[in-house]
Amino acid sequence: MYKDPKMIKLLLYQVQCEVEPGDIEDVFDGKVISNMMKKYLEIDGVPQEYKYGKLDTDIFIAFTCNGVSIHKGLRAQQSKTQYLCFPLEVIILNLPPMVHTQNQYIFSLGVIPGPHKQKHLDSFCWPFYLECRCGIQGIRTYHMIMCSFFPLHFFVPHGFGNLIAVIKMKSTCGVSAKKPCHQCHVEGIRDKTGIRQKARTYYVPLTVPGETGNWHEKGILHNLRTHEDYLWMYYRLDTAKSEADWKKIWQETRINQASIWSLLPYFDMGQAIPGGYMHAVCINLMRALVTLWRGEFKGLDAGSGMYIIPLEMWEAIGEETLDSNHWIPAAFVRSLPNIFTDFANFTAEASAFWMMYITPHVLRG
Amino acid sequence: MLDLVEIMKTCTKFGITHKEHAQLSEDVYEWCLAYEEYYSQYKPEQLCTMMVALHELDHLPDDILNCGPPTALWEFVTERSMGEVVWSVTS
Repeated sequence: MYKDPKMIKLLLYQVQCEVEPGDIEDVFDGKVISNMMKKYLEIDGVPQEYKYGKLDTDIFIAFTCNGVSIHKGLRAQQSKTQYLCFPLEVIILNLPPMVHTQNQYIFSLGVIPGPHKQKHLDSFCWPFYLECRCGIQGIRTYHMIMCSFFPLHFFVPHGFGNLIAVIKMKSTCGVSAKKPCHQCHVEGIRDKTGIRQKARTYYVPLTVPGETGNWHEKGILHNLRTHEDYLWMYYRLDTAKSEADWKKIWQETRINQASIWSLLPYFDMGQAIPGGYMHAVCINLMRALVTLWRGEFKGLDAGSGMYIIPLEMWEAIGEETLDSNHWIPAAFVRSLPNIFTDFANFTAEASAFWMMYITPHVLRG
Repeated sequence: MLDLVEIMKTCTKFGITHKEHAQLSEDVYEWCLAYEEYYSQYKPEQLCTMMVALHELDHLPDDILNCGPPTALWEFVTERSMGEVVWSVTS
């Protein structure tokens, strides 16, 4: 990377840009990295004399992974197979925020082959972890502009992905655990009415339903899981004396094993992995809202609410959405399908655009 | 219910000021409470409307504070490169 003068200029963006204090414009304005930059570097538990990110050439990268099924649509039905592979990638956070998500600056670490989901992501990340250790100590690199060698440090303070990838990264359980959230200690509640068969999922309401004197749990949002919590849970799992003991702890914490990321001296298990905005809001929440408004959400009726939009109106909304394609420049969004007949083909991008710019007009009444 | 539009617009901005962030946390909390009132109606039968995705929305302001705006770390990146992997598979 330090062989291309253009790239060096781009990498220096982070050092040169000045942000007003209090504004959040990039990952570097987040608490995780700014706290990290105040700390001294550690190698094998021994503090060194320089801080993280002290040199201009220090690079911060973020790790991401996700499962993808290779056969989709008709092909999957024809071949009757499901082949799931798991690409691992890193992005460079030093680049300007508009650039670092572009395709040519994403570096692939490899693809974990299928056909099934891997059980233990950490063992696949082990080579990357070893490289991270080298990155802390510094790798001898040639600098094209300064014409000299320098130690290149790189750090991985962030990881991100959708819910499943985050669960894999942290080795926690998902919605089948009693504490389904990996960011706070909220306790989920099971659907005990027995109407639906899939009653194993835990849900997380802010207000506990069906109790007299309902109470809002604003407190749960402040009872966050911290790095120390995770370390303590890993320690307890590792030091369990017998299998029965281990199982007891597992049932309580629902953590399968220690995560490899906690071995990095700077990685904050509690804060460094954000929930996936795209999957949570643009896909899952949108899908839930639209199916709710259509009255098709898991066979629920509106109860005492008045939120179901009648079919004739949905037809009109769908046609208006389709019609709007003529008037939206292609740079804004891909072409939108008819939301009434073709909702399955709505991608995250289309849903987000529909929600932000079209909904206020078509749902006005 | 359409306050979500404002929430999403703030989230997709490249820079979020401190004031906007404070407004966002308030909006998110109120929106979630409103969602609960409309759809779950505090009834056990309607509990399945309270998905974990909604709970992730609760944590969104904290995530922004910790990791910067969602535009910097979001999964569109992963999805796009996954598309490349899928396209490159031929027999």
